[in-house]
Amino acid sequence: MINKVTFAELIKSYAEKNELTHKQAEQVVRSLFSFVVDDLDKKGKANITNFGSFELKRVAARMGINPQNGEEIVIPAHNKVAFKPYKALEEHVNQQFADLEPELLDEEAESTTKKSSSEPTVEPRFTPSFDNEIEEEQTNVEKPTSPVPSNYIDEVLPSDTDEHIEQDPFGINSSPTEDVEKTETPPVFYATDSFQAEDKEPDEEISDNDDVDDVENKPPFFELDLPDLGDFDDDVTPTSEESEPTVVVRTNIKNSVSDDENTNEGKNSNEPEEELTIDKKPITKEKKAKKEENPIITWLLLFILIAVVAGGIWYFFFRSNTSTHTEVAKTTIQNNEVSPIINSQEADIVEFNENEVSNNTANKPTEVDNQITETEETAKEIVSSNESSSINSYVIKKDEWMWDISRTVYGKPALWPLIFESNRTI
Amino acid sequence: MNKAETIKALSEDLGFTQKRTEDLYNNLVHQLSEYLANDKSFSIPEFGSFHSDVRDAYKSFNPHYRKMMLLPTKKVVRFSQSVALKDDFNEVEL
Repeated sequence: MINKVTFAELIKSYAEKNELTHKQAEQVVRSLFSFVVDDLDKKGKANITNFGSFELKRVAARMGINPQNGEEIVIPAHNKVAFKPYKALEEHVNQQFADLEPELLDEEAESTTKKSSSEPTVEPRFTPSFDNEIEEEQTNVEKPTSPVPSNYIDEVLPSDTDEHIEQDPFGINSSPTEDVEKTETPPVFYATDSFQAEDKEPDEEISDNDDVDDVENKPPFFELDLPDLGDFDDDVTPTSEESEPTVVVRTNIKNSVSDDENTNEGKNSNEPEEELTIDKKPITKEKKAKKEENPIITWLLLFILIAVVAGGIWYFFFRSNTSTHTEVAKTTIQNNEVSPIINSQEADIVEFNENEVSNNTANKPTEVDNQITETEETAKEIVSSNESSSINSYVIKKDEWMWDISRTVYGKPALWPLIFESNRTI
Repeated sequence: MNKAETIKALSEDLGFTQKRTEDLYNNLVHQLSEYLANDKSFSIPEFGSFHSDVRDAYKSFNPHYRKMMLLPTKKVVRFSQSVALKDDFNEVEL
């Protein structure tokens, strides 16, 4: 080292600057580093604040070559003291190159192969890290080799960096969008065309809220409203795919159970449906509004939401028209579980539910103008459904909604309990 | 051992006040940093040597963007432990 400062020169300079005797100055330096050695001995690491930290590291045994006779020898495992400069020292030393910053290159996996061919400099660098003791010697060796490859790097890099900067945003954006598409596409199959057109317009208008990030949370919210009421029934297991298998099971049960109590419960079922449907749409609106911030993601999310809502409505009509009997069976099942005495109470509860429903309907339209249109539509639909199938459709809906939603959202109907738990407050 | 503890111990060794010792400590660190910033190497007896070295720009893989990254030229501090220090921490095991 040409610029080597001997310890004597160091002490002399230090003593003069601080008005110390040489002996005192030497004692300061030696005692300071003796503390470091002590700490390394006790804790395995030590530091000199604003200068650097030292750590004792274990170096595994490895093969080496005896430089004198070329024989392979085993370098045994040993401890070594590693030094890591403090940030202050790092920046102070690196002032010359402080304006340089790391850059992303356009190259991808191919670059690794290029590395070995185009950049001989990389290889010599890695070696010194392994040989800690011989660092100085190897660094000397590196310097002659490095300048030649560095020229190649300078020629290649500028073009790469420019390309890279242009392409970076795409690379970043592409990955999340793809994921979203994958998750969202399946629900589209369930959607009905008629409802989509209606739902899309209001959704777009309303979007003011933030929190687009909670994509996972949103789908459960959709599902929430319906599944809550339906949870009481054990019918969930048969409804693995669609209404038909569930209907069969329920019809069988119906025959066994008496039909007298069906009317009361059927009323109950209809009323809760109104609540559920009314609750749904405001929630969905909020979600949809949140989603619009990111244009691509928001569109996909809107698609999913519309698909889920439309699918639920479609099921509602389908059940109401075809499977009134099955609904009755469900209601009978509930009655059996509760016991006849409770049935009278349920009738009272039904009345309360009706009042609540009316209140809800009255309040919600006032809240948001945009919501009103949707709520009215839903109310009409509900009324029509109630008229056509005066009783039960909601229970069946609930179950199927749970399953359908869980299937669309999670891909597995078995996950419906998550939805139920999230909606318990309702 | 943090800086406060080090200065306290140093002041006891040297017989200086802690304030004076802290000045000495800061001046020493500053002086050593100046050496390294000016491409001067120095060694501490029975401890090791320090020198600064220019590390050429190199490419590395950025796992987040899955792309290669060019890390610029940088001047870094390198430390080489002395034989005495090495033996201190290895004699027991050999």
